[in-house]
Amino acid sequence: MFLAIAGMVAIAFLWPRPADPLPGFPHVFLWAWERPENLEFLDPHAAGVAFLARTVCLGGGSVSVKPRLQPLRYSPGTVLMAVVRVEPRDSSLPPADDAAAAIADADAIPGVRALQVDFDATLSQRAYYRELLGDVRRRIPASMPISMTALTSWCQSDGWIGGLPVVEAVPMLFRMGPGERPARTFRPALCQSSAGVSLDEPLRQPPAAARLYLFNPQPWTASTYRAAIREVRKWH
Amino acid sequence: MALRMTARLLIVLLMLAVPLELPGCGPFLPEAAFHLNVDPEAPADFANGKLGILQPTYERLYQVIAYRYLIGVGLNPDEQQAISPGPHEAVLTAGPSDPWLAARNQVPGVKPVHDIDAYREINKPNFYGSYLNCNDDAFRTAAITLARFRGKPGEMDWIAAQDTVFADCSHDAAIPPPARLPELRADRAYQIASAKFYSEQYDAARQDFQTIASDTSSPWRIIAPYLAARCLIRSGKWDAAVGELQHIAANPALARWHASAVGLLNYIRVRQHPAERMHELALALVQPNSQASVAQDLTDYRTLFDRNVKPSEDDDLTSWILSFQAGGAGALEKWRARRTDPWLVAALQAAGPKDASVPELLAAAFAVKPDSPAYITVNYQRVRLMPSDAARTLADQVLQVDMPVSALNQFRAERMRLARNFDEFLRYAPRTPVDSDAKGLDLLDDDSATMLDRAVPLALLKQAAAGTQLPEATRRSLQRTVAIRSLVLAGSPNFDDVFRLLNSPGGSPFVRSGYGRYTQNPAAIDDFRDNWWCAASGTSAWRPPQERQESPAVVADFLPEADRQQAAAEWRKLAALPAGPDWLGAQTLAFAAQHPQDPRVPPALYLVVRASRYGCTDDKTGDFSRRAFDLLHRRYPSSEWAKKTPYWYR
Repeated sequence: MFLAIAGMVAIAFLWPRPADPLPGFPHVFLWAWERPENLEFLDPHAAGVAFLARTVCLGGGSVSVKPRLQPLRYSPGTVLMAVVRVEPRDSSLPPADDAAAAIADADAIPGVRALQVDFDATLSQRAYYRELLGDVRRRIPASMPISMTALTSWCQSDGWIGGLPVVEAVPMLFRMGPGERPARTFRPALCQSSAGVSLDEPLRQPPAAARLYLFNPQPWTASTYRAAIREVRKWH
Repeated sequence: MALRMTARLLIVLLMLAVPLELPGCGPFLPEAAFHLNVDPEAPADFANGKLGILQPTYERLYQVIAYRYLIGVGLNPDEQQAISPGPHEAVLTAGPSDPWLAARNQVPGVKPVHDIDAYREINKPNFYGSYLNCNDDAFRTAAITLARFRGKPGEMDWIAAQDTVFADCSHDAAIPPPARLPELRADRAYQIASAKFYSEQYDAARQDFQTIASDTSSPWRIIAPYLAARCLIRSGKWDAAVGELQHIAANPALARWHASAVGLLNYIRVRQHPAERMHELALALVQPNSQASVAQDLTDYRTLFDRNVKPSEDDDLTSWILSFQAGGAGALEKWRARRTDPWLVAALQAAGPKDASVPELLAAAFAVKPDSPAYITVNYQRVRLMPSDAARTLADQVLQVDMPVSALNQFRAERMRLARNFDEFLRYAPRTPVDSDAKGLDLLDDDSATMLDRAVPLALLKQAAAGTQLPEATRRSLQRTVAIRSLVLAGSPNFDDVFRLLNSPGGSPFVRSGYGRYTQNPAAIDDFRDNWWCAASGTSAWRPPQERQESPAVVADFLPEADRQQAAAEWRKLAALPAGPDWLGAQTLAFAAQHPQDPRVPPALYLVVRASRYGCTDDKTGDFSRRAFDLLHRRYPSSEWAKKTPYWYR
């Protein structure tokens, strides 16, 4: 009996798990969207900040950049991830490299250690998105990891994201539509290391993931952060 | 071969039918709105004084506009133009640098530039942000100045220096070299000062601008003191900036920059003295002929409001907005003290029909003249507060008045509530969606649909479906509902009808409001699983039954007692009805057990399984799906229907 239990424990510990694609990064990130955010309450060892740095608008064959205009404050030592939202306005997309340049510029923001691209690409835009990410990858140093957000369907039903030059795809397990529930596991390897949840929806335990991104539709406060973390700790 | 050709043709047609642009999220299905809560359906009309029924949920922009009209100030055409309420495009559609680039790139020999980043990041420890460093005016001024240099010596030199200046907008800190040509000297001094300003060297820039101000030969000497003051603002020396800006505003020689100086003084005051500024703005915003300042004042006022700046006690505009948006808290006392229309509107809103204050409020509301912007609002409240007979008469009168569609819908809702018989109910049940695309298409709102669904007996529903009072589309939909309701309420449903319903995914015994089912063809499967119906006790995205169950009983007072009892009895049966696929499964399995040779049984079993896949389901649906699947494959294994049914669905 003892041997059996010991064996099971050993298997549990020795079973190969996906390597952390962002080693050294905190296991919790707060998404800080375009509003004044003061995250100085955050312990930099406990959580990082993935902040909307800019919105890259694609339309009429050209790129326009809407920078973040709201202040973001954070503690010294906070791990920063610059989120770049991509918003196509019409079907006339500019050359992918032009858009990539606008995205890649965010890597120059002081203190940023990773880029996250947020683009709800339609079926017809997927090839473009793939090319775009490839161009971004070529434009920024190899030491700068690229993360991407993912519609849940990308992680559970069609798997088109395989092979994209990113280290992780963060399935956004919120705003999923009435009655929809995420799968228990996500098949694409890119989707297995992280998950995104929102504080304004019942926090359901996401599929096992090493890293959580927390979205708050309101400005973050120390108390909302603590409440979210209390809930998250129940999952691990 | 013909089959293959047909398949290819179908694929091509499908490719053509799919729109090129599909949203990444969704679905975003059309939803009928009969009145809006955040803003009026026609903001320009509202700004022109057609207030309709003023909603406390409207944005404060509209509360300020309404207040102005309610106190008789209103907005003149220039003021309306200045504030131009309405949806704003959040995304930058045109860059601020466009006028400059257009002018610059026309110069022969100049290498075209297609974009200038006007925003600069703030480099501070543990902080990230950016701001608009180079405003539109800078680019416009550059374009105008370029016109002065066109074709003259130094043109290219000046453009190169200006390129350096604008590179500083986003990140550089380069300063143009001193001018070699004497005719460029004054302009170069200005370019150098500007470059220092945009690269955040504010003390040096200020010194340069002060030097320019004292250079009587410089075309920039008039604007220079103003820019020197801006250097103080940018470097956070607000008190010093106030002194200089006041000096500029008082200097007749600098009249061109008076308005700008006052604008900057207000900019500082909003930040240094928010409570005092909010009070000043509340007073300024009720002044007539304020077109020069009303837009910025509104912006500042709403910003301070959002920051919860404590308002001054004697600030009527702010007090009124706070009260009105809080349901009229304290409004009665204010109205008694002031007797003004804004407070009358707020007090009426807060009143209930049995409140002691109602007679005096109704008397005051009666005195409001038809040409008053408050007329529609106060009369809506009168209808709500008056005894039924008087309210009915008043509603009939006011319904003849021209008013916004949303107001008309709300009066119709009140008039429907006051209906004395079924005919009157039907007359006021339809409403017009405020969506301009749907004008002329009247539909049922939630209140009228719920009443028909739960409080009207089947016999009267048939009468309504066959009559002419409801709009044609609503009648057609009601006819289908009546047919299916008759079927599900029958003790022993006819299988012909059950079979027909299996082939009609759009069929439901429930009355729906708004646009109803997205897929209009009742015979077609809806891609969003809005097929057949959900159990009244279950959950669904399309028909949230919990709300219906938890809401109080719906009673049609206008019906005779016998009809009401009949409706209640029918509703009890409908409320207990299982989800459509379950009901269809139960009927089909029962019929199949009794009539195994009936040729309709195999297709019906196939359709039951299909319904369990595409329909609204609950925890019992899987059982019906499995039983239909098993029976189909066990009893009719070689039928085409068995072959078309490879799975059952949980």
